[in-house]
Amino acid sequence: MIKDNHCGRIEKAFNRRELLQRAGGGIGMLALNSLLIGKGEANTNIGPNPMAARHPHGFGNAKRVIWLFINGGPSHVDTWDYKPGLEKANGKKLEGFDNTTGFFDKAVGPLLKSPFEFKQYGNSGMWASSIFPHLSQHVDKMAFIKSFHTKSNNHSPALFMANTGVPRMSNPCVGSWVTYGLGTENQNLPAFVVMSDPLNRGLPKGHAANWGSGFLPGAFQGTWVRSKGEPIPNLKRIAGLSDQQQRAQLDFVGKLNAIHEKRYPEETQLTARIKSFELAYRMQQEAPECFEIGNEPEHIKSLYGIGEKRCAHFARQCLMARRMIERGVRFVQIYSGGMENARSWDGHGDIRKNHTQFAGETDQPIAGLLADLEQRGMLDETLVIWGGEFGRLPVSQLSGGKPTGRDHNPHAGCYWFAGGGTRGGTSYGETDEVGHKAAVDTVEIHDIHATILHLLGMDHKRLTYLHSGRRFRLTDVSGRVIHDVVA
Amino acid sequence: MKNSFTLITFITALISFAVGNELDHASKMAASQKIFSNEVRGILIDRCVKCHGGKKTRSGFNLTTRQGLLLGGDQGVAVIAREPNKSPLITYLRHTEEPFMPPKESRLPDPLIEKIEKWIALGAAYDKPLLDNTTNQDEGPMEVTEEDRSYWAFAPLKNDFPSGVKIDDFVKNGESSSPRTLARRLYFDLTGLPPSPKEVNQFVNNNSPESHRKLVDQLLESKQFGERWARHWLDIARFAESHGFEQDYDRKFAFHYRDFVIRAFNENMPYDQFVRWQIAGDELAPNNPMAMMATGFLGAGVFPTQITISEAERVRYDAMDDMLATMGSAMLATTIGCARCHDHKYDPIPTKDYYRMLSAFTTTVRSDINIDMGSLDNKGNDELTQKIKKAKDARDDYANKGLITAFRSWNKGRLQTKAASKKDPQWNILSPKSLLSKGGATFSSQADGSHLASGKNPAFDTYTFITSTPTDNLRAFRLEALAHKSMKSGGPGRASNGNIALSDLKVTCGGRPIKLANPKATFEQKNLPVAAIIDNNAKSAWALDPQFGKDHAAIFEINNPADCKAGEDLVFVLKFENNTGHNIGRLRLSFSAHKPETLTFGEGNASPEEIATNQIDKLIKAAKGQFDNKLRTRLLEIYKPIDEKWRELDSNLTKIESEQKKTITKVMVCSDGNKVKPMRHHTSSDSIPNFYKQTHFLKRGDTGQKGEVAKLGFLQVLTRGDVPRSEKSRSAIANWITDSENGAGHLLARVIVNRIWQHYLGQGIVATPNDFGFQGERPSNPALLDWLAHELINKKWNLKHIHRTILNSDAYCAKRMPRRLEAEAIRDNALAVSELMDKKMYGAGTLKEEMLRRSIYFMIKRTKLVPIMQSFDWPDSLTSLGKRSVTTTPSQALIFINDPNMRRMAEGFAKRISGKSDPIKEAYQIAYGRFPSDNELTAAVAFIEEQQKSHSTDKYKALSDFCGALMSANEFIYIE
Repeated sequence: MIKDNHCGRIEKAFNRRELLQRAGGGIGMLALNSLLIGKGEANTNIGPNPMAARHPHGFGNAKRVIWLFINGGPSHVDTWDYKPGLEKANGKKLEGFDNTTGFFDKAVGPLLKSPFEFKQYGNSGMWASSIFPHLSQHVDKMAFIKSFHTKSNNHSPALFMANTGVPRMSNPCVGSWVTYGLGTENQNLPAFVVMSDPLNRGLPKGHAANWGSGFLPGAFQGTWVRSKGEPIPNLKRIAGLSDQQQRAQLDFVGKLNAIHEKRYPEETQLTARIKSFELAYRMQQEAPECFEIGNEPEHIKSLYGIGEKRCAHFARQCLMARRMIERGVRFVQIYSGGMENARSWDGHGDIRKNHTQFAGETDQPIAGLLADLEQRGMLDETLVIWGGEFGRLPVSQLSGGKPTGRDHNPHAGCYWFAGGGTRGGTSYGETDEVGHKAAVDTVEIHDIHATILHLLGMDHKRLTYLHSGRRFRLTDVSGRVIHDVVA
Repeated sequence: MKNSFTLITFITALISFAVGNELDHASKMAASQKIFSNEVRGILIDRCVKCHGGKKTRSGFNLTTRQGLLLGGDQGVAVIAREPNKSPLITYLRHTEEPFMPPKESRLPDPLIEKIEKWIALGAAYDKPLLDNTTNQDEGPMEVTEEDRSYWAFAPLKNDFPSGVKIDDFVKNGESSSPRTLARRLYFDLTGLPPSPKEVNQFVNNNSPESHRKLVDQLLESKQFGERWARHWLDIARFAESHGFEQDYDRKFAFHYRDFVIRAFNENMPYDQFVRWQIAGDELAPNNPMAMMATGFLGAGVFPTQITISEAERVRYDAMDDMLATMGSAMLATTIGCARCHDHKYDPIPTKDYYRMLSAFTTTVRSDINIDMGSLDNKGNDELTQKIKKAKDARDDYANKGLITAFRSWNKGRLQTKAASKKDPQWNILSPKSLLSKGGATFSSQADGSHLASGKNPAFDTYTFITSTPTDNLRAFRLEALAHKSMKSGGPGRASNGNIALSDLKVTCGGRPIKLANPKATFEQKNLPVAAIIDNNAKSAWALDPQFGKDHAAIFEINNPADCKAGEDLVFVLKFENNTGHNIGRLRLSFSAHKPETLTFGEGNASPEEIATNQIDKLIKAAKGQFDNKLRTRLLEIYKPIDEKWRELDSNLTKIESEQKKTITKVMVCSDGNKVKPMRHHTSSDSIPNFYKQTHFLKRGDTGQKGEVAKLGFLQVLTRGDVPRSEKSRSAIANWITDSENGAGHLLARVIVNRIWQHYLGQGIVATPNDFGFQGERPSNPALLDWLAHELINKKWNLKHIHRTILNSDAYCAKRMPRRLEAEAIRDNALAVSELMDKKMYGAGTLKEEMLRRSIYFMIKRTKLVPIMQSFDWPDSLTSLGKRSVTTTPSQALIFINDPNMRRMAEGFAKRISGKSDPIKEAYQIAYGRFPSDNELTAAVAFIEEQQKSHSTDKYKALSDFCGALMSANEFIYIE
């Protein structure tokens, strides 16, 4: 049952009986049987471990991803997309505007200029709004995409779009595709980790489906890290059992398995399961250490802003993300903000207040993360993504009759990439005069996905999975790598 | 002028750039073209063009022209001219990269591939297009051809099997497994639970083909069989109990669908009925709770609860697509959903077929409705079933034996006292020659002369009651709306609150209108007075809110009694046009010959006894002394309800039945949104409908590009001749899909027998159980597949027959590699050995991991899948899944070593063995169905001793560690 994959390397598919027909050659980059377990244990044949590290072909610098998911719909015209045209047109009606563009068709007000001051920063002269005093110092690391647009004006379909490429609850998310394609470099930690708002403001709309593995095997779903108590389940030994006692128990299990295995010498699944107990034992030792930020030096803590009340929670998550990435976790996603309205970047009522608050929660932590990754020499191999499900409208949303809020805008939005082989200090694409719609070099979410995979060394057209009679891709039938942002 | 100048400049530049290679290039192209016309052209026409530009353009790749060849398809570039080494087409042809081409066929011989390589290396020149009419390749609508119908999956079943053939005539089998292995295999495969040591030993000690068959039968009849196999179907049905999307609200009453599947498999419901009810149970058998529960299949998919106006229509098409696509994958292993935006790229399913089938679901919505589940609850309660049987037997025995004596003595007695007891009641009940509901309700006559409506309850209805005018002297009519327990709040109406709204009553005698006047009623709802019945306004009505659960009456004087002539047809027409479903549930009509001013509503009824007496008198008179058996039976039928003893026995039966009968339960069903209350979207405003009146053909699946209205149709490739179309569209689909003459029945049978085979043998005869199409695998043993499908249809879709046939074959008993149990069976196995399992069947599930019931009773909440289940490859419940993946991860191992619930089970297991004389041997039998080897015994003794020491001599803790280890080891979850 040996098949050749797209890379031309010969490999056994997933699990020869169970998944052959599904994975086929289309499993793309996967070398699921002759694998490398991380940390130098070379070429150990461990059978169907879906998480074993895999190496795509030779392009792409990035090995890991941290996606700062700016949840709720960050307003591009109040963050990174400076619109002098909007300033000029402030208070005017936007001619030809379709009132059903946003969520509230009966609360559409006149055009509203940004309440924040924009300035140019860095050698590149990129624009940034005054809500980002820390991040604006890092614009030379950022490659902006200012012409993003999406298919839905509603949180959860748009969140699904951003994460899975379809506006429905059905497909695997980017993190799942990436771990399916690349495995992970540290078997003792989860490959794909998600952190959500720790301040009881809820989960993003659509909850866990945003980090679900859809039709991919469940092993590729995101591991949601709890903000309180045990970060991931079953890491703690049961009460009354010492390490030594547990070790003895595992050794005994090992003996039983060794006797059993002799009856079926060809069954690699059994061997894989034997190994999984050793991995579990090590994960139990290593994972708690990874999530523990207490031992980080003070200057690092303060770099992220852990002492600052307004941003301490997000700072902790950013620092944890760095620790995970450092230890070989493949994909980390952190959601800024909880559910909707005032609980996330969903500034319907008062855009100034809302964005001041959420920028305040994230500005220093993200800037600290970029600086820390850079000083450790990790930024080159770590792709940092900033962006959410859609942008916001240049027209105001009336709140109590006053034009102070902004509604959802599926036609325009802003992303930036940093590190991971991207070209810092550049900007790609433009919105129209007032920032209503993406106008020049427009970018779909599929293009962003294709670019993420490309930066990680994967061809989005070849990373496929056969399900229900179709070879599925993250980018469906679309997707175009935005080479302008690739270094 | 300017343009041509630019063009010339451009061409000049091009020539000057390329001039160095020009001659070389031209000669190469000529050579390439020669290879093309001599060889390559033929190869492409023979092996490629059929799917790539001829009848189909699969994968968007059309190689009929050089332009198309170089353009590539959905998979990207296929050929780079002059670069055969970089042209993916060559790797496809050489079968070094998927998709292998030509698909499902042997590889082209190397010399031919080399020719193609050379042809590409020289420039991939064409002399002319491969087909004559290459202009319109992509645009023409797909035609379903006879060739398409002859594709293996769509073709009729082969039926030339010699009689007496069996599975083992189709397959070659290896050595048989040991009885010990087989016992364990049978228990896990059929029930998902381990055999007890006793059960294993019994089977091993008494091993014969006969005992094998007996065990198979016994396990097929066990309740746990349904719980095991239902879970396989739930994967296919993408079953979950929450909406998904934004808020992921719970569907509190969705679990009834899960219970339906368990019950259906346990009671061996014929598979065709199982399928029909899931598609249209609400239309086919609305009074059967199982049929209603079955419709949960359609609504098991996701449902966005927050939508915006601009998305509303797309969301509705998505919802219908979910129903159709799941039906296609689950029942026909056909990816119908792929034809939503364009003709199916691989299978002969035109987009038109898709929308025609989709239209069947136009008005289908989810709804929580009340259903009487009483008849179901009796099942599984043997004691009550026995009691009911006993009571029924007692009553019927009496009716057959003692009743005739009682009748004779009654008849004698009444004749003696007749003169004395003669009464002249105020009201005489009219019995109809016919009583019809326009909307299709059915009436059953009650002993008291009333008529109980059941079945359909249309929004608006008309009842027509025809009788003979009993006498010339008619002075008044009485119309009664009577209470009954079958109606909401006891009625008397069939509306969702038990109300009526009678809008109109017209009476004629011999065609002459009878004028009604001076109406009076027992009660009148505010603004809905009884006078509205005769006000000639079809919309105004008489209603009774809030006086439910009581008998009501309205009486009317007759203004023109002279127009009433005895013996002529007396016709009452009752119209209900005021409010949805507000039809009278139990109707009785009476007349009076008394002076109207003396009449009251209810008193002076002819008693049931009087009514019976009258009828009996008439019959006896008409018989003129000729008593035959038929007449005797008829007389007893009439007499029965007034016989004291019979009434006592009957009411006793009713009482016992009612102990379970009234289990009014909320059930999530799918039905016609015009008839049930649709489940709403969270953000629905009036401008967002629950469904649209019609389904349109959509261009590219875009609701912004509507075509004509789609009328119901079926997949052409699976339709031969005429398939009956009922008025109800889902019933029509249900009939077509199970029709093994002209519809999809043959494929339906192939698909399900393949699924059963897969679960027993590890791999389906078709390895892609959800896709029998072109992209799927071919059957590894087509004759066996067809034979099994034939068996199913011939045995009236008897699923257990197929199970039995497979399980009793040598193929099933042959030695095999161990297979990992599924998530449910892993956990249930642990629960079973711990003896902590709560075996309660059915009912709402829970998310709590500490639950002690079987894992099928975990609630499935889409955004909060139960972690232990999810860890062991539970399906995502978003789309139909025909085969679970099997992964091995450290987080699974962490469950075994650290999860407190798992430890609790290990402790339960330890408790079970701790008192035993030889706990280790006992434990091995419980966990693995065998005795330990010497090696294992030594290791176990040593381990327990060591642990006991370290646990400060606590033996129970040491045994718990030991049991936990047995449960963690591979043998516990890998079954050979």
